Amino acid sequence: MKKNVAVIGTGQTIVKMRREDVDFPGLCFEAASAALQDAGVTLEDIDAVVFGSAPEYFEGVNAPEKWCLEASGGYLKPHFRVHTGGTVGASTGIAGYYHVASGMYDTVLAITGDKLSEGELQLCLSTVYDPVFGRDFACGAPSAVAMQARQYQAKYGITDEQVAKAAVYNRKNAQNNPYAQLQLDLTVEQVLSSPPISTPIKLLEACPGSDGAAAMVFTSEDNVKKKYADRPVAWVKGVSAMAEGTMYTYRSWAEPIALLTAAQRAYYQCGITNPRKQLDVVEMYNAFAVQDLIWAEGLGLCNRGDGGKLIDSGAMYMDGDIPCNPSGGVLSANTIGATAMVRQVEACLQVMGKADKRQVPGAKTALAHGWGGAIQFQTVMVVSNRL
Amino acid sequence: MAEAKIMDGNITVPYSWTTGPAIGAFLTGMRDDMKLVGVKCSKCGQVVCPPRDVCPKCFIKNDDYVTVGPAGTVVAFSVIHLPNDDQPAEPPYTLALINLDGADTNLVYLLGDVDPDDVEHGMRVEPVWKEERYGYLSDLKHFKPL
Amino acid sequence: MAENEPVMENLGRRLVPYHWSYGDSFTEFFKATKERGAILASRCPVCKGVMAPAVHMCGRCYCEVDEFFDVPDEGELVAYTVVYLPFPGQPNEPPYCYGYIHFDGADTMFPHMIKEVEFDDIQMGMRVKAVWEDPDKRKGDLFDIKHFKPIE
Repeated sequence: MKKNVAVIGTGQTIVKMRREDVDFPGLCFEAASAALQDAGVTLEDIDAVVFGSAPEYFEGVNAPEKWCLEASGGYLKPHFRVHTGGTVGASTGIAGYYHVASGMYDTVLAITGDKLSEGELQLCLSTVYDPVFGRDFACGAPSAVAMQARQYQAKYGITDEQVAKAAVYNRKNAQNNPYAQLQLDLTVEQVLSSPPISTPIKLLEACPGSDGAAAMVFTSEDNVKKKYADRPVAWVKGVSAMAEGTMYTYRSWAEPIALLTAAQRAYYQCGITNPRKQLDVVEMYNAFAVQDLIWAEGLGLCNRGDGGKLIDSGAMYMDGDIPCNPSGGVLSANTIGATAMVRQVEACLQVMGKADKRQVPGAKTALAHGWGGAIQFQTVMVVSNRL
Repeated sequence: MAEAKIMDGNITVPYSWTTGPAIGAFLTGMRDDMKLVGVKCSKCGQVVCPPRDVCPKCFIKNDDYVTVGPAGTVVAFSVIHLPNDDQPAEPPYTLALINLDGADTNLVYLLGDVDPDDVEHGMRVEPVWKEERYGYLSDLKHFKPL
Repeated sequence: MAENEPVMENLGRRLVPYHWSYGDSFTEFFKATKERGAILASRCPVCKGVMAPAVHMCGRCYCEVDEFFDVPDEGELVAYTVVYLPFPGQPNEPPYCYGYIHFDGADTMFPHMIKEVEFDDIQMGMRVKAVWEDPDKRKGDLFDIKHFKPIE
């Protein structure tokens, strides 16, 4: 029988295109220390460490968990490495949750990060493609998502203006986030006239590449009651991870079936039947602006095919009925390794009331989403400040 | 069934690794002063060389840099015979774990100016530096017997 | 970096050679492209989906597949992108177009370059056909097909 688990502390580093002042272990130490401090615990209270990082090629160091072991608090502790492509941050958080929910460990530190500045990002991302059927044409992440965008926009008549609106509001939200790398004030026209990188995706619709790390401390309900009853915590109410393949029959990138399934399962766990009404804030992994719309559909925030209408309605903005990405989303900072965990961290901060200028007033229930691989892996975590 | 096919591929990726303060201090010490830098933990007193920014046991930032060596003791060694791409020397060559005087951890490096058959545990060694140094570990040519 | 400035980065290069096994399915597929200029497909007995390139296992149904046959070397362009972003080590110089094709009768997507057409004239759903390499120059790999071009 699984136990109830809460997040009692989180940490994230300032994200920059290149953090010249630290090496990768140093970045991990920053995030881990920040999370331990926020949780009010020391390393002695931590029973296990879960470490996540995206493809080894990014930094050119295999098994980076060993390189970063001491710096991520792993010395003489049970240690677990997670890697699920771009959603590794979320999978690591979920693995941290599993460690505690299983009853095997009481308090667990989950930590993720990457230093994308250290390698040639698009070349490294191109190694994610099938070596025989795809690598010869690949242009990193942009060309993969471009295919998704093409099919989605064609099937549902989503306009370039609607996609550009998603870029604009995310960038604007980032201005309230001191951790975000990019804090841009843009108009739809500026986005539409930015140079194409892989059509239909334009430069200002794409995420940056970043250096950064994030960490979370998970603990059991017993522990919360005994030691942390006096402070806000974020209860993990629903968790799901789902994979779809790459070369299976009848695949269409316009239909995010893995996300639809993952969301349904997470919602079932926490009694959500109307996500649009029952969620107060959503942090999605929108590496490219078009994904704001596709993932919104996949999460059931609108009907299938209505992503364009959703963005037009303003519902996703800070003053809308389902604020999305108050942090500025992935368009404003993308370390890949930590990115999906930052979505979970931001969701926790929202329900704990600790999101400062980017706080959605009165947020009680928040959702964090991540995707990875050749648009295959999807993760959903729902957190709430009520058990 | 057709004969199994193989596809040859190649991936070459350039990197630029940030050193961080500790390794930066180590490499700067090598390049500018031909010295070996370690770091001492203010809590447990352990001296780590090559230095790291965080003490693994105490989980605190370390920035008290100290000079160690230059001599050290061979605590383990292996003679590599297996040829491979991208090796630091032509096999057979000797790699040793060297405990530099004053350090509590060991440095892995090449041994030179010595026959592999003559290498022994406990042997005392000292660094041999290159004339031109650039702030890379390879500024150290090898360690040789004292 | 300037002399006497502290060392802050080290540059390096990782060169990794590979030898990937094609496995049963793709060995057969590329034998067909090389020797017959044909596209080999397979049909799943459970979902009835037709997979091109042919595979011995259906990923959706997790079952063995043993019905193999050729499909036409032309079909519908179901996704495409024109790549402009340059990066070191890129296999093609931008701008270039590649896309995914549903061969007539197939239910999976096949990637390849789209050429012999202006970028602005490329459209979703366009019919395209394989342009084959000369038979004596084919090596039994993806470039037995040079690229795809639009047809009426």
